[in-house]
Amino acid sequence: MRRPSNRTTWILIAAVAVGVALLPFTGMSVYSMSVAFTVMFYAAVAVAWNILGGYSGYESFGHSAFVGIGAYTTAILLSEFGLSPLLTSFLGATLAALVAFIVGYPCLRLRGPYFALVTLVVSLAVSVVVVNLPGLNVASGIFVPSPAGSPVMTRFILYESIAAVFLICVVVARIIERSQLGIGLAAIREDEEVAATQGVPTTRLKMAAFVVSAALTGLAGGILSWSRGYLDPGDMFSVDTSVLIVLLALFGGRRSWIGPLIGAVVVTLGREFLFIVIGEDAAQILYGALLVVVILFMPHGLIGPRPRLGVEQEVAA
Amino acid sequence: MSLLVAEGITKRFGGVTALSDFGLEAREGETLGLIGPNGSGKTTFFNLVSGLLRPDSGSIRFKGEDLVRLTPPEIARRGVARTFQISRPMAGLSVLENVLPGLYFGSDPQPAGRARKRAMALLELVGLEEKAHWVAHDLTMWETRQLELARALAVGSELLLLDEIFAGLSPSDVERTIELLRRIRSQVTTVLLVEHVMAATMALCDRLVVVANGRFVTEGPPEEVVRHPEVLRVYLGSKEVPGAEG
Amino acid sequence: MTGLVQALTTGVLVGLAYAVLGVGFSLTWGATGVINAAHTMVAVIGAYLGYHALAWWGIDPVLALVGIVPLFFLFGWGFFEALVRPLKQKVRVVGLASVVLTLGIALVLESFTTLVFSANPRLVRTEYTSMSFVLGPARVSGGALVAGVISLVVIGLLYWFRQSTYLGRALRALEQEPEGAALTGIDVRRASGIAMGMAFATAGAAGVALSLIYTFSPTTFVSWLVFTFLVVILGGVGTVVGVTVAGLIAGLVVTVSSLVIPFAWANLVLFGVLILVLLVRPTGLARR
Repeated sequence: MRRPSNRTTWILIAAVAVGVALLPFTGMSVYSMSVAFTVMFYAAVAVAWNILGGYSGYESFGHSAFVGIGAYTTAILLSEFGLSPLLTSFLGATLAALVAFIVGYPCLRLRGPYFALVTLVVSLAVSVVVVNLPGLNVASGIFVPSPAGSPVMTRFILYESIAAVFLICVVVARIIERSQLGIGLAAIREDEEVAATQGVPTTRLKMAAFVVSAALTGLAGGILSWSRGYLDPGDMFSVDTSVLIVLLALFGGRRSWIGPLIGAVVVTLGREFLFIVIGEDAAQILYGALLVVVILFMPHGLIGPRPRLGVEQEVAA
Repeated sequence: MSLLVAEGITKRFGGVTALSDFGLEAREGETLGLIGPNGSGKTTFFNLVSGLLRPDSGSIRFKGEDLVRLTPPEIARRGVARTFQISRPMAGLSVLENVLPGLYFGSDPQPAGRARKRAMALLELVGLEEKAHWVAHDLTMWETRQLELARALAVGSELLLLDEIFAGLSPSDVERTIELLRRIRSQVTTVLLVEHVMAATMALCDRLVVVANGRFVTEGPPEEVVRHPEVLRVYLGSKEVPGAEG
Repeated sequence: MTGLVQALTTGVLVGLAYAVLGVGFSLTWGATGVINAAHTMVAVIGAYLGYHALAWWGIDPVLALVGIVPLFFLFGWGFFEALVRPLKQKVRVVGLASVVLTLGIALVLESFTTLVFSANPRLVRTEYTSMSFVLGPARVSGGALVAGVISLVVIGLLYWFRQSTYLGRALRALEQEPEGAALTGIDVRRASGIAMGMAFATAGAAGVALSLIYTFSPTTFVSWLVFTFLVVILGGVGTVVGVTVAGLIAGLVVTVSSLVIPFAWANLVLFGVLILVLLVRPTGLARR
């Protein structure tokens, strides 16, 4: 089975875009729309994470920092100055990109578990800085006005906004995948030393992936804060969120943008379902069990490993 | 005309000295063989030239520029390409995708369309074009060597470092590989090869450099070098010509 | 001046407790290649057992260690035999994969702990925890002092074990050269099982020690994990001395910087130190 052609994939993306945009018009309840919002948020962030974590193999365990940066940027600008997150989330994305640019160089010199730890530590550091920045009053919580008067209109605006962010993430991810940057990242993932001797500018490419990934995550975070009436400082920067993002991509598959999307849909919907049926604690047990199962039995995630021509050829012969 | 001049190279790993005040000169256009007993520092030297390691002292000048301060990608971009002793195909990528990074980021960067064409041409040159879309993981050992070669050619054409490309091959495969190298010889200006298989070395090299215990022993045309008393002593401790048995 | 001495003393005592966590964590990592994210959750469970030994039966948590340590040792060994060994035979469970796997296990354990013991933060209170002892110019709480003693005993025992017993030296060989060790006749399976048993046992002791100084709840395992990982990376896997020194540095950095900057930022200084160290030496301080 060959990889789908360029054209096919873009048609698929367009179809997904249309489906996603039109979803609210199927007469969904306010609750369903807020679930759909959560799904789209995690799908966006997982796809964004995957640009670094999946394509280059540098699994960041601190992406919630970028969510938080985006979230607080829009929240503060909205509650203090009434500026719409539709605009300010791009500023949030830029700030997240800036932070990634600053911490990227030291962090990306490390690999595997060391990289995981340092990104975790950096995200904790970022959270401490943001929460304690003088003048912003983040620590005492921020009230965020909602986008519209009615719940229906609110949910609709929020959903369409995050859906737009999700689509931006998918398009960017797909473009990177097939570009020179994408091939370079794949080479880095497979064997960084060999890639370097092939001339691949490993530092530059990793930084690019890190910064883009952070920016897109910040963009999604900017819309996330709009959906919360009140921002609790502990909320936006949790390690749990960082780990969940990693899990979504691991579960769905890291080869392409489709994996994180599938992972986000399945896991988020699954979690919602379990919350209702058996409550939060039991849901966490299953979530932990899921991590275990994924690592052991599905190293390539739901989308599976890359199709291997050689194997088929041998079987046919 | 010297292409590569290494002088005073010393490299230590903890208590072990891999290379001690070693040097060599590769002239433009020649095929230079680097030979020596196991553990004499040959692969270490390659790692130093390609930038994966830094020497404790000494300089490695390529076209006059000292490579010691440069990173591996920077060195590759100047046209220095290498293969690896134990083949390291990028297993999860296809054969074609293995060759693309060198064409995108190497010494002669190509845009996407041209890069693909050139990649296919290189694969044809080494004989792998049938398996261009196979995942590299599924190649046979011989095929991974072909791939190493194609990848190196994609990176650059000034200096090709071949690290024991004949290791572990049967006599007929050695013949095949000698043929292959002769075929691609025109693609590259200068070749520096590290080898143990003397049949191949004698067949391909214009000159030999001998290293033992990290030190330079001698250099010269192959027929002279293999009869040099110091070389015989270092290899065998006897009067036998190295590799005379085949 | 007294403030500084105070900070130094507390820093040492806290640092020793982190060192105990680090040393155990490093035992698992060195012997099996598994980076056990559940290690600090085991410590938290130890803290809970100590707390409830006091709350339900009036047994001092330190005395409860007599039961906790052997129990956890058996759990650790069992964990190795039942999970780690079969997994390693089937799948590549090392490095990052082991982090994610053990994280899943930690989350499951955390949920169970919350279910059984509730999520309310706990603080151990005995006759001595609120007493203040005077050590020269510094005043130390009884709890911190006892924690320090426990830590020193555990670290001392572990160091002696690794230097002077056959099994201890076998373990060090295994950490340095996994393949070579097997060839020299070391029973790798037994050594690894015992290593994990000891890792869990030290985790239990560390949990009890820390419970005498700080409040804890099921989610505490996360911040303990960050410190543990940090200390091990700073100090180096497989060296008791290195990890202990790193633990002391960590404890001192936090307490001393709390003197001049708000406590919330003190951790930041520690993280900054870690990042600086990793910039200079990407594999940590210890010479490998």
